[in-house]
Amino acid sequence: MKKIIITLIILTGFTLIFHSCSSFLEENPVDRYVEGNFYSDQYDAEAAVTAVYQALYNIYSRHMFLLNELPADDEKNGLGMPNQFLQDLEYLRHTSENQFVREMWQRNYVVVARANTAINNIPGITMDETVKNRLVGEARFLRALCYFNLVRFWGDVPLVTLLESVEDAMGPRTPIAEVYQQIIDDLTFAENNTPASYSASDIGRVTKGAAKILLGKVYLTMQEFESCVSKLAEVVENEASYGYGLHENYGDNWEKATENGKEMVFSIEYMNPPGTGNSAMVLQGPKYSLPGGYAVLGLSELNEADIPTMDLYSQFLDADERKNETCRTEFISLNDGQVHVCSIPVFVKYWEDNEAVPGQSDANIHIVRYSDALLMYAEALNEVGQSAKAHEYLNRVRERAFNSADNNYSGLSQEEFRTAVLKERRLEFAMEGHRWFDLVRTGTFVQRMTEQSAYEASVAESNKVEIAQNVKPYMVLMPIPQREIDLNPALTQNQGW
Amino acid sequence: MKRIIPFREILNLSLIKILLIMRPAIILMVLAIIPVNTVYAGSEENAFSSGPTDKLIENLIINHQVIQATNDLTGEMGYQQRTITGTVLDINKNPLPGVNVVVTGITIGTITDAGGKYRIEAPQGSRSLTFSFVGMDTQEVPIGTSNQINVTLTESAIDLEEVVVIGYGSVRKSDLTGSVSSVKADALQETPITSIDQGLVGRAAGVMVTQTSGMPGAIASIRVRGTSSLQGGNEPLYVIDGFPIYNGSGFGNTGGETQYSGLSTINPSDIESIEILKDASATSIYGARAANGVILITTKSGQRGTDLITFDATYGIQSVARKIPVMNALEFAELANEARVNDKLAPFYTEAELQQIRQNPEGTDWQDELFRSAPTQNYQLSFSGGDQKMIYSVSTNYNQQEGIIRNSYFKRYSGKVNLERNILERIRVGTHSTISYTIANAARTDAGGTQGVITAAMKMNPVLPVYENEELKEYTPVNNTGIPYPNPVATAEEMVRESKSIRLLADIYGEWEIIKDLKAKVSFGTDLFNTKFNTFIPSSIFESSGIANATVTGGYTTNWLNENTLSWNKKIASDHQVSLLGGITFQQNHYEGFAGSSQNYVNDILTYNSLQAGAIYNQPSSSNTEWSLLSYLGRANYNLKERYLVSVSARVDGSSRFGKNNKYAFFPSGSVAWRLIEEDFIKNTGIFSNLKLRASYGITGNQEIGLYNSLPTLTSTTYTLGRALVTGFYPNKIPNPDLRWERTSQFDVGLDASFWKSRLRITADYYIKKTTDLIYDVGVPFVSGFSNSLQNIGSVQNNGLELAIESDNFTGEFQWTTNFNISFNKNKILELGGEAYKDVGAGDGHLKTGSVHRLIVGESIGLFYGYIFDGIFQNQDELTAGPKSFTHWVGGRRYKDLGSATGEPDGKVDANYDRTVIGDPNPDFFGGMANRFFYKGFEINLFLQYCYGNDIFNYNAMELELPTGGNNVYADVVNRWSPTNPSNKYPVANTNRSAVFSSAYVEDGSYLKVKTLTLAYIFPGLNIKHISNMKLYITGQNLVTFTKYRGYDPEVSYRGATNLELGEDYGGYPQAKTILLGVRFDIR
Repeated sequence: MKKIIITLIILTGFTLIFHSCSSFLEENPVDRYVEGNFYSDQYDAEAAVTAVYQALYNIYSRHMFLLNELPADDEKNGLGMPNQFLQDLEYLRHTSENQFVREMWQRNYVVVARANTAINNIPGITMDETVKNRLVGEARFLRALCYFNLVRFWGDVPLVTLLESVEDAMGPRTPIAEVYQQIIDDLTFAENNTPASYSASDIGRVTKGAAKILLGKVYLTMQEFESCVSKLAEVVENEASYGYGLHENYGDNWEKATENGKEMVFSIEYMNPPGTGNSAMVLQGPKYSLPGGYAVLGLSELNEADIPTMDLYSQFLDADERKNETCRTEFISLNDGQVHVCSIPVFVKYWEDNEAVPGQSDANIHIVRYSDALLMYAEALNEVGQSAKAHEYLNRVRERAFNSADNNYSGLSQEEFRTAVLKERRLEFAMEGHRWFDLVRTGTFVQRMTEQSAYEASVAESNKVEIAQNVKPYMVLMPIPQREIDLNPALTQNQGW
Repeated sequence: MKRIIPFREILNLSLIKILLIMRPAIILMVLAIIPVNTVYAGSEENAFSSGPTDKLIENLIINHQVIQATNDLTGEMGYQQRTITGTVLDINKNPLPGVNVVVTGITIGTITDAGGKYRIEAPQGSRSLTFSFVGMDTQEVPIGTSNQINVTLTESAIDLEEVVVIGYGSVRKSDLTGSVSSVKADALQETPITSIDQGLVGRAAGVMVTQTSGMPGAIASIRVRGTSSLQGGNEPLYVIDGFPIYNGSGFGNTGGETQYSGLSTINPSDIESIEILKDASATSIYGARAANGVILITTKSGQRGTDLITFDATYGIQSVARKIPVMNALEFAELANEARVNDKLAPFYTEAELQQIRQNPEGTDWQDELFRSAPTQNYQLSFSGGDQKMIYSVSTNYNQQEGIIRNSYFKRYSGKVNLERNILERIRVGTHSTISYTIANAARTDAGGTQGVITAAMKMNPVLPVYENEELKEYTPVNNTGIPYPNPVATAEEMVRESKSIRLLADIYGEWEIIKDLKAKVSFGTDLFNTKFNTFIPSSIFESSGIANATVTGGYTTNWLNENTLSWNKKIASDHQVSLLGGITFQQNHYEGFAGSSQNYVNDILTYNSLQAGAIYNQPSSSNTEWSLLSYLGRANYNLKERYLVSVSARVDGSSRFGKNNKYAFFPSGSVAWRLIEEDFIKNTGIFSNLKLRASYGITGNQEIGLYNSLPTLTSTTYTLGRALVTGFYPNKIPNPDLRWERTSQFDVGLDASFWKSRLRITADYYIKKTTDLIYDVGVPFVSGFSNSLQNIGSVQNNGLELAIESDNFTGEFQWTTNFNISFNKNKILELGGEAYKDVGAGDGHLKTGSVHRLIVGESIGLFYGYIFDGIFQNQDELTAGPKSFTHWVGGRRYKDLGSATGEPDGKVDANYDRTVIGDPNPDFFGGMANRFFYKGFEINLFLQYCYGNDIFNYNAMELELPTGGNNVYADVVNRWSPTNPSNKYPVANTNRSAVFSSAYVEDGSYLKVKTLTLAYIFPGLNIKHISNMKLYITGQNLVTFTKYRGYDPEVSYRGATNLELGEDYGGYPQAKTILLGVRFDIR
């Protein structure tokens, strides 16, 4: 019996040894943060906002131009693009199951969620008030940008500004006017709490000017032209104080030395490793149309997946500097130094001639350029009847492109001016993710797609006639992803889909 | 088309070549035969020794006695001694040499000589002598007044008294109330295997083993009674000599989805037996880790009274079991031109170039260039034995398997020491220690996209040569007709993907018999597992884009275990046998990992050895994680009159992985068995030699739900601001403090029966296994910013039937035994957190398939979901008739229009309404059959394995059937559609790569495989010098596979040991066909 007791004591001893470490079964991760011990100082606040910026990569690196150019008249799928969902977008066969439509919805809400986390946690942190408000302002700008994307693609969308439980994401679609009001509030806060410029180490952050110009775009989209004119005037009429202007050469917008210069209003910033590189070059660079394939260029991989329509290419005049900066047929090989010629033009805005690793380019992707502010200003001025001033700003952009005033417009009627400025926007912003928004905003989507279908079928693929058969008036909104409707019965589908 | 049949090639090897191949084995044999007089060796006589004439044996026996006597002198001094002699016979009155005779309780012992005679000096007062011999019942004979004791030993009744290892103990097989399959070492070692999991294929009913890859050391995916978890772990718990290890989905650096098995660090030759615990009654003692079954692995220990030195050597040659027939250079060049011309593009090859290709129409056979004949070898030297106080087993092993793909290999060096010694009066202490070092280099396979050497070898343009300049070793960098497959020979030869591991798995234990029948056992064990992975992509190959890139990854795992158990075993009166077990265990695992990487080196010489030499440093990473488990366990067994058996067991597991609201879990089970054979009404029928009915019910859990999943953790990320990197943090999940284990309840009913003096033995089991509280990423609206929320929701059921039949067909001079097993398992999803279905799997980015699997409530896991291929549009009329889809042109593929929003077909094929279930990767049944024939020293072992009713998605075929000219295709695609050749299978040649996931690529994966065929000769009465008990054998592995599947092998899994993405094949490492020569002998 004594032995049994001794044994029990020993065994109990072991138990006590381990039990006394009461944390034996507690999880205390040492290699990651847990929400409870984060958001406590300025560095945490900055990190929370940085994470919002980072989420833009997933929207703007490809999806924004895919959804703006492919189901519109600028882009088509290159030879050998096997993706049925992209082919569906090109031919307007897309449905609520479309992967890219779904991801665009998802990725905008990811930005919204990270922005909400920052906006709701930062005010509780004890820190410099100016910096605090600036950081909240940046996050509110980014939230507004994504809600703006959402309403433009889908109309009424659920508005969430604070997520306490999943239930908060289960509501019905919020009327578009309410979402716009939130966007305007956010941008107004941003313009009042962010600086006009930053020191070099903070280049890339949201500025006062960016908030104002984006707000101008919101008003333009809402067709509130007076508000648009007055908001844009605050910047355009004082551009020097914001440091804005047009580069002398259109192409400087994509040169490493100047991409963050005076024409940059807001862009996503790429960097070679260890940063995140821009891989647009891989998707757009030449392959099938290049005799011998892209290997003759001495590059590792190009896909010629996202290529221009002939309809777009035919719009550029030879004298337009933008023609060769947007599309090109000639490339210099890293292997032999020779020029190799493609049989069709390919997009080259993000092309860097000496970049051997195309997936890691550090060319930024512009979200708002200053020429956009000028063309929007011109468009709104035309709508409010200030035709002369409207011509002035339209021509300012056009003159830069031609390096001369020879192609300037003059004496356009209000209606002619609308057509001219829309065309100018197409030439100025091809592959920058504006086109579908512009066509829908100006009510020209169905007509333009019908025209493009006929033109493209006559000069390129005959099966492009299908686009004219498929285009429908309800396509000015995208279908709500089927998954979202399945998960949230309170959501309704857009008409027609 | 040249088609090599490697088997025939190997049989054509001349004898000399075989001898050359065997050279290392022969050298070692010769070394072993050279007399080593200093060797102290035991003298266990065995069935094949010639008996009394050999002087050497006598000498050894004398030595043995002398040494033992010397050993014992000090302890036994001062006693008066008495000499006892006698003879030991078997029941046929034949003398038994080598019988261990000891004075009970004291280590004075001897061994009977060749005539079965012994002579022992017993101290005064010794009470009895113990006689023991392998395979015989041990006898204890009291020392009376006579100085002569003669004994007759009887053979152990092996079948009934066979002991089965169970969790925290062992029981007689006859007392077993749960469902347990045993696999013995002989069966395992029949097949040349690198890791234990591979050896289980087809060996045990209810255990489905999928060879995920032919890569040396690759993990095999194991499912005991079906897939029961959607997102948690599905692999069984391995318990190696008492140390529980979750193998997970493997480890290593292969550049693809394939991983090395964690078990590849364990030497299979050291395994004594494997027990697979299947029902809840057997497994619930392992609680929260038992839901997927438990595999108990026992390594070899010594036998008392015998010292044995055994040497094993095998050497074999492997070759690829099958090649995929693809087009030759001329056929491909014509296709490449046709595809372009059909699309109104300039032809790829000019007429002049074509003329040149016609000179050498075969071109490069990329598969021949990539594959090779590869040697595999294994050497094992084992020492084992023991005396009354101590048993030991010491072994060392070298295993090397070169891969059939150039430059791939797996090597393992391992050693093992198992010791146990009785100290003091009632205390035993011991250790199980194994240490291993593995080093492997992988050829990149199962990599998806355009990556991976197998994909490239099938699809690379055969017009291209391997080298642009062979003298300078300048490789052709990449496929040139469209899809950029890197030159597979360059990738295999130049890319470094090395994995190294050092693993020490060891425990020390002590057992104290406190009072009679009551034992306490304490053990401390540890599993130290360090890994290092090196990658180097030199500037000379395409994958690097001319900029060399090196990555070094390290992992450091410390896992410790303390177990404390009390057990009590008592026979009360003659009818009641009771045993009780209770215990407390603690286990903790700590992992630290790091990775560093840099690129752009001056040259390729330093490879991965000097990251600082790179001009660009990539982002480094490190991690540090921990989990712990605190458990209480108990079991009670009661046996009434050897007839009625009851067992209950339970475990309480506290796991750090569970949410703070659910830290502890309780897992009880109970089982009953009725040994009908003991009942007169059965016994008297004379039909049965054994009959037992079993039933069990219990609950087990699955804690493999990841780490820190219940916590609201943040993820780090980086963005560029001001041309510099800045770090951001964001919440990566919706926290769930209620997160807990998955819960499996299982009902099992079984029957063990044997007939005709146990010559026919049958075990049958039926089970229903229902898993609830499944860890599942319940879809949440993207509006929340998240895709999923990890919750315990969802339920899966597996039910099935298992049958194992063993029969001794002939037992005389000619012996023939058959082991057969078959398993049926039906898997069904009962609940998916309110969702009716969920698409799973990422699909492949390069082929843009989207997800190819769909989970559907009411159906089994892993169903293939896609379009139905409906032939080729033959003419304009058919095209106009539609339906419209992705390839809407004459000669294009047609898919079925199944429905629309209104339910009726609408003339167009779209993702919403026109996809359906097009295949099921789960087999209807599977199993294996082993046959052993023995006649006068000749032995033939034939092992077949089979699987029926499973579908495989042949990813490779998506491009191998598509005549775009962008890549090489099946040779059969010469029969593609053209206006003059109305094929309904292969579309017209053009450059459109539109490849939707359809039934065209879902193939029947049923197979019957001659897994191994061994011919062995056991030398009867061999007695040359120091060699005895010699066995020579030749084994063929993967000799023939009967299947309709078009890939390399139907045993395949692109996604490795995946849960949900079952049955995919995409550029996996093909299985090898192996011819192996082996020798095994004892050294005396």
